[in-house]
Amino acid sequence: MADSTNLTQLISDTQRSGNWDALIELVPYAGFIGITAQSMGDEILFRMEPLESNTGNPLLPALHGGVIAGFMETAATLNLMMRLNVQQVPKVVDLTVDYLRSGQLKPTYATCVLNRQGRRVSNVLVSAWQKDRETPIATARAHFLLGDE
Amino acid sequence: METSDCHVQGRFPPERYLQGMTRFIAALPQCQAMKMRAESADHEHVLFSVPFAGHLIGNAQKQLIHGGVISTLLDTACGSVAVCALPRFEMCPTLDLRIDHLRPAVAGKTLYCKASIVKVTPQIIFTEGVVYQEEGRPVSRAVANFMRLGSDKTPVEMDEALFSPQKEEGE
Repeated sequence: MADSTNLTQLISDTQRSGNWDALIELVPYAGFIGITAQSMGDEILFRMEPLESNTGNPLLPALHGGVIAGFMETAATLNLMMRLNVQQVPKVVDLTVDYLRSGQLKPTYATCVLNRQGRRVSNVLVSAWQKDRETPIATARAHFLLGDE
Repeated sequence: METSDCHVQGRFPPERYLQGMTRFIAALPQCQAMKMRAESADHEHVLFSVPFAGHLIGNAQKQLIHGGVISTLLDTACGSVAVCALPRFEMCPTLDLRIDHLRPAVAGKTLYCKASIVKVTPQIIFTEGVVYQEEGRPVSRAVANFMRLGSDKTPVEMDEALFSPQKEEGE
């Protein structure tokens, strides 16, 4: 794709400036569910705002499980792009989410671990939490395909 | 199709399930924000849809719909079919959701999700779902398991609110 140099440029700009806005704007869905990101040393911390529209259970209220999955997939994708200086947006092959606690309507955080990086496929672990890291509301793992098949 | 003692052989005609699921989705803000619709429903299957919208895009360069939209559609449809399979409405939180993305979901086209009951047990409901834009060409498939909190944990009024015969939503 002709835009791949732009993407590479955008990634290195983000790495340098620590300002994620332009990169996240490439993902309209990220704005829809209120995702922002912040580089903290070697780690990237992703955050999802407690938007009313992210509610899945209005009685508790609790975040929609699908939104939590969408947040974790986005975190894993952006994390890979930053780590690997990719020229294409990595393609998610599969995603497994374990829901451990109900997500309350408050800010949700996520961090990723690049579990294994092969030549074509990456395996990423994601943990999402609200109160503290030690009590995650969900964990996920995903495989991504890098570049064109 | 396996059934267990807990799996009722349909409480209502399909119209009542469809009306119940339409009311169910209407109460979920994220589904409203995605303009999700119930197309059909019975005690073993539901078919839901999400029309395309710009804010659902995940890859702007390639104009592809984000996997999160597919996750939400699958979680909702699988959770809904779980509700339809029960003898009475129960809260059923998702235990896990496992999705394979088989081909990209392209911008401009409606997403459909057909979810089915695999098995109902006293504690757990097993479901599966498939997402497509054109019939016969699956975009994603998934397995989702739900926990039953028990009908004693859910007020009877919620079952009535969902499945009571035709009344205006506001009443």
